[in-house]
Amino acid sequence: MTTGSIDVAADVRRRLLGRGALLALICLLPVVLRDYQLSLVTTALIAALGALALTLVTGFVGLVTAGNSALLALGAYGAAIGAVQLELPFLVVLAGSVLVGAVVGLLAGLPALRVSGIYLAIATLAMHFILIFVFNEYQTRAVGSAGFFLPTASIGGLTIDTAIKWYVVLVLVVLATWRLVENLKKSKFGRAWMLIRDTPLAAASQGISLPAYKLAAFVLSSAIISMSGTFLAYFQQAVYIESFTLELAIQYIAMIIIGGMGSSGGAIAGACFVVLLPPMLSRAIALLPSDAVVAGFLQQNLGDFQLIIYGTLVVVFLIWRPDGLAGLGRRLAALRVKGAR
Amino acid sequence: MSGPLLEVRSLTVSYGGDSVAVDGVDLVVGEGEVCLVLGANGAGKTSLLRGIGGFAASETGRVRGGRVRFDGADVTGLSPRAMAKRGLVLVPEEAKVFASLTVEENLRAVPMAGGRAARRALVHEVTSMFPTLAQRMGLLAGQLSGGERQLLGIARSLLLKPRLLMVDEASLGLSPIAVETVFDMLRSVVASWGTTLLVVEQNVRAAQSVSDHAYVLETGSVVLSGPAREVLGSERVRQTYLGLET
Amino acid sequence: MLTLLLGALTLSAIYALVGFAWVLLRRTNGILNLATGAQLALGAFIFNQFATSWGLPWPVVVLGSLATIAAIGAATHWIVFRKLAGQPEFALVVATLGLASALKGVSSLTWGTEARVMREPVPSQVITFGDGVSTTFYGLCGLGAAVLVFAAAHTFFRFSSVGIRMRAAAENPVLASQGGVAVDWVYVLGWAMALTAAAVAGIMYAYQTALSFHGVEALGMRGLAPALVGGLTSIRGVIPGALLVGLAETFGTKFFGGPVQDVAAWIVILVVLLIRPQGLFGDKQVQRV
Repeated sequence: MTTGSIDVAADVRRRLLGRGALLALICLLPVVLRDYQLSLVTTALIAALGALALTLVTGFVGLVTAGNSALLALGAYGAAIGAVQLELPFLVVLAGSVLVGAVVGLLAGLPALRVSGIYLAIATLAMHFILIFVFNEYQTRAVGSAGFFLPTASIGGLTIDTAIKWYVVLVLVVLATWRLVENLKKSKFGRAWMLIRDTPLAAASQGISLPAYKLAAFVLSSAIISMSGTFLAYFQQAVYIESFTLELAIQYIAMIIIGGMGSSGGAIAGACFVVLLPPMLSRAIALLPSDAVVAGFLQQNLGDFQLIIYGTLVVVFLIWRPDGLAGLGRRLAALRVKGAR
Repeated sequence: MSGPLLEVRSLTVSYGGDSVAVDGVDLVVGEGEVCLVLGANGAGKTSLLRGIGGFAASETGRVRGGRVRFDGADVTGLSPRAMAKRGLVLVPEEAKVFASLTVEENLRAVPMAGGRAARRALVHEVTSMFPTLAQRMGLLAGQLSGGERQLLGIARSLLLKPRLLMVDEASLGLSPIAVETVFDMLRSVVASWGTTLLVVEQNVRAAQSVSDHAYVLETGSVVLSGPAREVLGSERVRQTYLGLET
Repeated sequence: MLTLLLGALTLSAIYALVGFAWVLLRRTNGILNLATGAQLALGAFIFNQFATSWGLPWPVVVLGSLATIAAIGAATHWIVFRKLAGQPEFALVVATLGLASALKGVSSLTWGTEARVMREPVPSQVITFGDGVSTTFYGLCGLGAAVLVFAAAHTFFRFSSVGIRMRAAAENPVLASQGGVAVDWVYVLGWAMALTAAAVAGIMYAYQTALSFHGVEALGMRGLAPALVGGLTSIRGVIPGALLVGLAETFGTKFFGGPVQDVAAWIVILVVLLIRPQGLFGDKQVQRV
């Protein structure tokens, strides 16, 4: 490690400190949290996978996709078909959903990205409504409106059947995906993507094929979101069509806008915020005097308030803090450093 | 009447990032004068005019420093529309007309001040100054020649009754005859309307006949200024801007 | 058969109105408005509030609800999109998605999600011509409304100074601003007009079916299809686009069953993206960067 300058040493020390804190947090959570709370964290981690994937395509390349919910459904119904109808093992289903996600991403992205970035929003919207329609028809015919129930996931004889086991698996998967996204950001691809986002003309003049690079980002992100859909299906052991709405797709976008576009750490923070907000709101409402009319009203309409809060936060963050929580964090850190001097 | 019509002090313009396109320019134009700004491609001429005339909120360009005073009032950083309403009007270099609108619609797209009769009289006065345009009223502006577009751009801006008209590269891409027509037109505008002109040019020959005062811009800064005759007669300008042509 | 064709025509009229809203915003304000569905539903519910819940006299219902909707459109620009000026295109699209979510929440909170029957100015009736060709009264109303809106739009953009200025600002907002045009007001007008047209479509559709948030919102989203077929920025292109989508949906439902109604328009979109993404009837080339 270089210790040539004090700045570099300080930087390394800060990085190590950050990693240590993260590791401590990861180890501490299962000890202090109850099973139900740990499951919530696991749900947030699954969402974080999708948010990381969106960071690739929206954060790095500046493309809008409305297909997040449909791709989650793809992974989930892939799991239902693979596990229930074909009785395949968990890892095979997982690999299959990655593959299918990539193929569907390719099919939706290819025609749209030939033209311009904005057409991806249109194509993914069409993909959303068509896939949801297909899965709905399939579910109605195969099992009826209650949906599918999935068996317990197991990896080579080891069943993943407790909250803590799921937590460990998803911590590992999220860390790996985070690493992948960070490495891509620093690679030739990442630099090309951000050039496309910021100055498309300059990118084109450097011989970067815009459609190909955009497509690569979208296909990769589709594969990851589909994979997270499979995790979600096995984790909840249930798949039903009502959970895959367009509003869910918007929730994922809210995660990266709130977290800070283009920042993978921000995406994870945004995912935690969006997933953990409803239960926290619920708790907060429960603290109100139970006979209050307001409390009952709030509790009954929690879903509507969620929609309003996420939607408003997206608009507010876009206007006031386009760099999201991550930018806010960086700003605070900069202030602290300034103050320390 | 106190002070010059336009007074620019240490104007700095940037398009985001650290680099600046215009770096601390001072420039003064008196009422009724014709002022010429010379400079090579990329010297910051267009950015200077845009910095004076204002950027729209949707653009990345911003005035980062300095002051623009027009007719005694501080107008720094106002929107292009606010500038136009005060009589500070720019004919931009590219896209000076609405290509998808007819010539007549291009003129109608200008919100004019005054009552109905006054507006009609103004349109009549301006169109009678441009006989070539009067014959092409129903044509799409996108189908006009370069010279005709330039004339339409000037006609559009005259409907705003400008006190200061800024014209960016009026001669660019035009045939010598068209250049002559455009500058004849500018001369007659100055003569009959008393409009003050600020012209950006690379074509010194075309511009020298109309100018009172000249500035030479290099990499965002003024390197030479003074009466047009002196500046255009200087060794530096003769070598850089006239050398290739003579 | 002729009844079916007439049904397709009345459906196309509704689609033409929704497509008009998409195209107007794309062209004038430069925004691909993914909140069209939610805004259309909001408009229909506001009308229903005036008409059914408050039971006001019809002239008050029509003027009051349309004025409210136009005002909401204007506020959308002043409060949200004016502040986003200068942000990249994708940020604007994301903002419309956020808006869609928030509006859906507000609507569901205020009016719930169950379907309602709206108060009718005249009882709905089936109208029969000659050989058993029939349609409904409200189907014809929708057709009339579409013809009216398109004729008014044509006159407005062709002959009025404000309309010409809107076209100018749509082509080049910076030049328009330099020419003294108040571009922010053009955008306000764009939002107000688009939301009003969408609301008219939603109201007509609700009179022909029923008023449910989900139903009219989905209609608003499917209205992207006629807009895309027409090239996204061509108001004239919307008309053949709407006919194509109306026919596809009517005959798709006829041959493959009712649920196809939900996807016919989206399949049209995928096919258009596949064969001619710049639209079948567009009048301008799409930029390629």
